[in-house]
This record gives sequence, structure tokens and C-alpha cells, in this order.
Amino acid sequence: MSLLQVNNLTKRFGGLVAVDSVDLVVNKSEIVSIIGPNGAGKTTFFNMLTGIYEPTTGSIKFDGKNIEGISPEKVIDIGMARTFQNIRLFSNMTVLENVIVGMHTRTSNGLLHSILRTKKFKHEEDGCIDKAIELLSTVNLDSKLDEYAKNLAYGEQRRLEIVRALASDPKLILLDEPAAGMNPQETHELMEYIRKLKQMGFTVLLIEHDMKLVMNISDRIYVLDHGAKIAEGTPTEIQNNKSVIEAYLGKGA
Amino acid sequence: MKTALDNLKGKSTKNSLKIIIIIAIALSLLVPFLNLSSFVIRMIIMVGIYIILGLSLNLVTGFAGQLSLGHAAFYAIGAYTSAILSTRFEMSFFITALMGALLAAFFGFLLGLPTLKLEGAYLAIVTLGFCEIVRIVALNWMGLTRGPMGIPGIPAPSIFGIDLGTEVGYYFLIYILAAATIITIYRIVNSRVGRAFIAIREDELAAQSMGINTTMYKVLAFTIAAFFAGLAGSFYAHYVTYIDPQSFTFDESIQILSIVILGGMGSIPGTIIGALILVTAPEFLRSLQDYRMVMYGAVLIIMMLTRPQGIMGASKTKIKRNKLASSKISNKGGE
Repeated sequence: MSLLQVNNLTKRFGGLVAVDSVDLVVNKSEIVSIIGPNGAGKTTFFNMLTGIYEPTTGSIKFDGKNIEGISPEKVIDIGMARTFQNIRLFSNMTVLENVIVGMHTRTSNGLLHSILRTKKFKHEEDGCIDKAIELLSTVNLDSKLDEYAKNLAYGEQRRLEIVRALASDPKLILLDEPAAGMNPQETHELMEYIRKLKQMGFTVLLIEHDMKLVMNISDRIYVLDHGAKIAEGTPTEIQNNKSVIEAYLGKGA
Repeated sequence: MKTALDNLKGKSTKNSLKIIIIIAIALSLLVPFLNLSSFVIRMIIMVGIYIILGLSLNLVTGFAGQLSLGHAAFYAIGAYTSAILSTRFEMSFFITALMGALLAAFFGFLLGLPTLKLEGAYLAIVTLGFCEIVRIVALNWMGLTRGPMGIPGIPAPSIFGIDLGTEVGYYFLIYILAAATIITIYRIVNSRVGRAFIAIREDELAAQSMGINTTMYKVLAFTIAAFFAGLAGSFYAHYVTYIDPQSFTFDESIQILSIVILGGMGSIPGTIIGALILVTAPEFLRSLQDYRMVMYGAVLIIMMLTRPQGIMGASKTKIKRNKLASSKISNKGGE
């Protein structure tokens, strides 16, 4: 069953067509990757899915509902969580707090409960803390709960950002270049972790430049170039696709 | 093993902190009976007022990251509302203070609305403009505020027929108000709402992606801050018994902002220390006569150059993990 269905999605910035009539389908429990050279429109595509940009034309159907033009804070509500290409953690908040902020839409303590420290407040806070610790233990960050996010090593920050997204119990998780800047060992660990996410029942949509990672874990791959989709298929199909090779290496390669 | 040790460590620091707080509270309760001069008592009461003002501004500027140069406006609205209601309608302090705080909160809500679109310096200018508007309205709306003549004869507060218009009465009244403000702001900051404020300060786009309605929370921060500033204004009016527009100029906003910056943006203890220093320093420097304000300025500059994060440093909230949660970790460690 398709969880995300994108039809004919286009984004124009003035005369520039950043994303040009792209169709894309993500099924439940799949790992789908979007690849393409720099400037191909991958992040713009993500930004439309997550409500940061409004599409010029086209439709986005998520979990049976049309969501194009939805506001960013609603996106996570309906079950789509993301990470950012350039890490955007809450630097001066602790590891634990970062994850608990990720649970914002799944919690409801308001001003009154917070000021009066009611039973409901305590119950919800305890639940959040337990859940956050559990999530953090899956990426070996449970020993750094009270560390400020800015003090974490680069790879740890990447993992924390993924966990923060997971904290909202998303149906679909969008990872924007999670392996960027990672060393081979870290990339390998990340690969294992994304596999684990799939086993845990999450669906993953991934933008990534690291071909080894993409080819190893993707069920299906979409290739964008100059905003348009030039190929889609399994990793083996993509590796042998002529236009993909041309886009990456130029003609005659 | 490690977690057990950590728990223990956490406990001992928590206990020593508790002892310090209890001693501080005990000492502060004795203050009015120490036979201090009324000048000193007056200064302490002003520190109390500025603690409320500083903390409320810190919520907006230090925690939610929205620079406001108009905090004196809410202080003025609280003071004028209280003064007018008590002199014309003879309402008791407890009603006028609530009305003053609520009206200030309403204006805080209105001022919060432009923050939907504005950021940083642009927002600062809007708040500055708002502060001027309030002062000019107070100066020119003769029928309501008596303009530059001010409002004299604001009655002292009383409760159940007990007159609180004594040094001891004012002291304990501001003591309770300041304590209530500290506790409330502390609890807000250490909650889901407070974490949303801080997340907005840290990275607005990421906060939005976490599902935080940044617009709503920014307006909320302004509204809460204005409520407490209005409360401080009400107390001030009933304390000095005479107010005029001169008490609520732009300088006043800057004074409050200085407290927040000096103490540490996003630090509650910092704001308390900042208020203590900035309210009392001009008096301590009085012996320097003409050079008093020069020294005062120099101290601020040196402070900012050597410790830009403020006395207590930037915001440090840490989620308190209770026994239940920590025992779960140690259980996991044992498995």
C-alpha cells in the first residue's frame, strides 16, 4: 500500500524550475532513496513534502490525504518527520531535551498543567523521559543524556537528529543526507541503523550522495537531474541505467 | 554502578542546593526585623520589583529569543490601570493588581502579533515604538491619566482590614509576588511550553518541524511576560503612591534589559542577581558623585567584554529525572 504518493510535483522560483513534474511513490516499510547531482532539486523536493515550500503545481498524498501547501508544524502531526542536510539541533539544549522536544506533537501539557505541576504533567513528563531514554539507547547516546547537543561529536549529532525525528512516532521519516561528513565507519553504522529502522516498522525516504549507502539499503531509487526525474528502479537497475550514468559522469562515459 | 554513583551525586548537589535555598529564605524573612534604615528597605523592595520585571522579560528575550525593548510599556499599563481603578473606583489592591496584570497581558498579546512576521532588530524597533506610544498616551490623555501631572494619592494595599502600607507590609507583599513569579517562570521554563520557547530561540525552522506552532508560542511568551510586568507595575503604583509618565520611559526598558543581559539570558538565578546588582549599584557608587553614572556604564562595559554570557551564563535547563525514570535506567544497566 502506498504511504506517500507524489504526482506531477513542480516548484518554480521565478524562471528557474527547481523541481519539474516529479512523480514518486513510497510504500509502507520501504526504504526509498532520491539521488542526483548537486542542485538537482532533491532538497527542494523535501521542502515541499514538509511544507516549507508550497508546490507550484502537483499533488502530494500522504496516508490517504492531500497535504500540499500544509504548514510545516502540521506535517509532523500527520506522521512525517525529517532531519536536515545541515544539522539543525537545539544546540543549547541537552540530548534528552532535544528528543523530548521531538515529542511535542504527541504530548499536550499546556501552561496550566505546567504551572500547577499536576498529576497529568508529571505522568506525561515521566513517560517522555522513559521513551526518550529508550530511543537514545538505540543509537548509544543514553550515556550522554545531560550533555548539550552542541558538545556532541559530529556523528553523534547526526544520530541525535534522527532520534529526535523518531520521537514523534512518524509513519514516514525523511532523512536529508544523513551520511554527509561521516567517515566510512560512521556511515557503516548509519547503514545498519537505517536497516534497523525498517525492521522496527518505519518507512524511510532518503536523500543521499553516498552511493555505497544508497545502493546497499534502498528498496527503490529515484534519480533527479536538473529538477526532473530521469530514472527510477531497484539499485541494480539504476546502476545500469544509461541516463543516470550520463547525468553523473557525462556523455561518452 | 556508574548510574548509581551519578544518582548519588545528583542527590547530594540537590540537597546542598536545598539547604542554601532554605537558609536564604530564612534570612530574607528576617530582613524587615533587622532594624534596617527605611532607605535600605526601600532599595530591597525595588530589587523585588525588578526581579519580577527582569524575569518576565527574560522569558521573552532570554528563553524565547525575541528581543523586546518595550517592557516598560507593560509596567506602565499595570501601574496606570491599578492607579486609576484604585483612586477612582476605590477597588482593593488585589483586584486592581489582577486587572492591571490582565490588561498588560492583553496588550502583550496584541504586541506579540507582529512577531508573526518580524524578527530580531525589526521586532526590537516595533517594541520600542510601542513603549513610546504608551508613554505618549499616558502623557496626553489628560482625562484618563492626568498627563504630566500624574496620579497622586494611590492608596496603600490592605487585606482583611489589615493595612499593608508599612515597610513590613510592603516587604512581605513584594516578597510573595516575587516568589510567585520566580516559581511560575521556573515551572513554565521547565515544561513542554518552556522547551518550545527555547527551541524557537535555538532554531525556529527546526522547532516548526517538531510541530511547535511558533507563532502561538511567541505570542504566549509576550502575553505571560506582560502579565508579570503589569503585576510589578501595579505593586509599584501602590508602593510609591504617585505615578507619572516619567517613570516609564525607554530608559526603563533598557534598565530591565540590562538586568537580563547582565545576569544571563535565559538564567533565572542570573536575573535575580542582575536585579540586585543593577538596582543597588548606583547607590553604592553614590560616593563618586558626578562620576557615578560613568562608573556604572564602565562596569557594564567591562562586564560584557569579559563575560558576554552574563554572570550566570546562558540558559541551563536540565530535565529533572525522578526516581522512577532513573531506576529504569539503572535496571537497564543491570540487564
